[in-house]
Amino acid sequence: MDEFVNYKTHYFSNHRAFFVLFALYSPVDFVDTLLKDLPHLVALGPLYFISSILFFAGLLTAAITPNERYHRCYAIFFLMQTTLISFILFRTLI
Amino acid sequence: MPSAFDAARAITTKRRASARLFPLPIKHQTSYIKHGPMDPFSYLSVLISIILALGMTRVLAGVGEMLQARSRRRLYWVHAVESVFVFGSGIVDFLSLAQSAALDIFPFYLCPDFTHHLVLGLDRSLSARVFFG
Repeated sequence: MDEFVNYKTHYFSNHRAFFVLFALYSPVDFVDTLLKDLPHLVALGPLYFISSILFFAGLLTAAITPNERYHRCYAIFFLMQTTLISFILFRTLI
Repeated sequence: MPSAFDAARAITTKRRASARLFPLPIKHQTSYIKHGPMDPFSYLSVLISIILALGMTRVLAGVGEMLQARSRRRLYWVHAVESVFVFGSGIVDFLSLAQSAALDIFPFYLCPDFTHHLVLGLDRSLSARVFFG
């Protein structure tokens, strides 16, 4: 708590591990859905495949690149995506 | 004659040992909680919620640290936005628990929905931990 922390340095020194862990979500989800049944996977429709690939590609790029502009854009995109999904999920609960 | 409350909980006068030991005349319903049987997925989802909460706690603790020791912290807006995102993903995962088809096979490792949410919940929690160090 007493030490000086620069969050920018912290962010760019940890971004690889963080984004790789986050990117794992899509392949794990895909394998798990496949384990349930092939028709179950197909029934999810093309939207599931497109969103999973986009999510995975975006996160993997964020893990690889130290480009600051990319991280700035992706932070905003991420936030919008999460807010949108939260609202969609919440609407289905009501 | 069992009361309506006991009947709802499937407790007969014969089964209620406490009533025989302590014969207190309870004449009215003391709880409005419905004691219905919990399905296995709902029961196991509590564990997933705990794991998700561990990750979300780390994010909140990190934000608290950021505010408390702000004189020794140089904030970076991308990091701040991402921390909102990490917290939001925890909420998305929690909400998605309600979406499950819940295939109720009790040995939990055979319940695909449970393993699915557990693995993904662990992943989320771990990445939240990495995010704040």
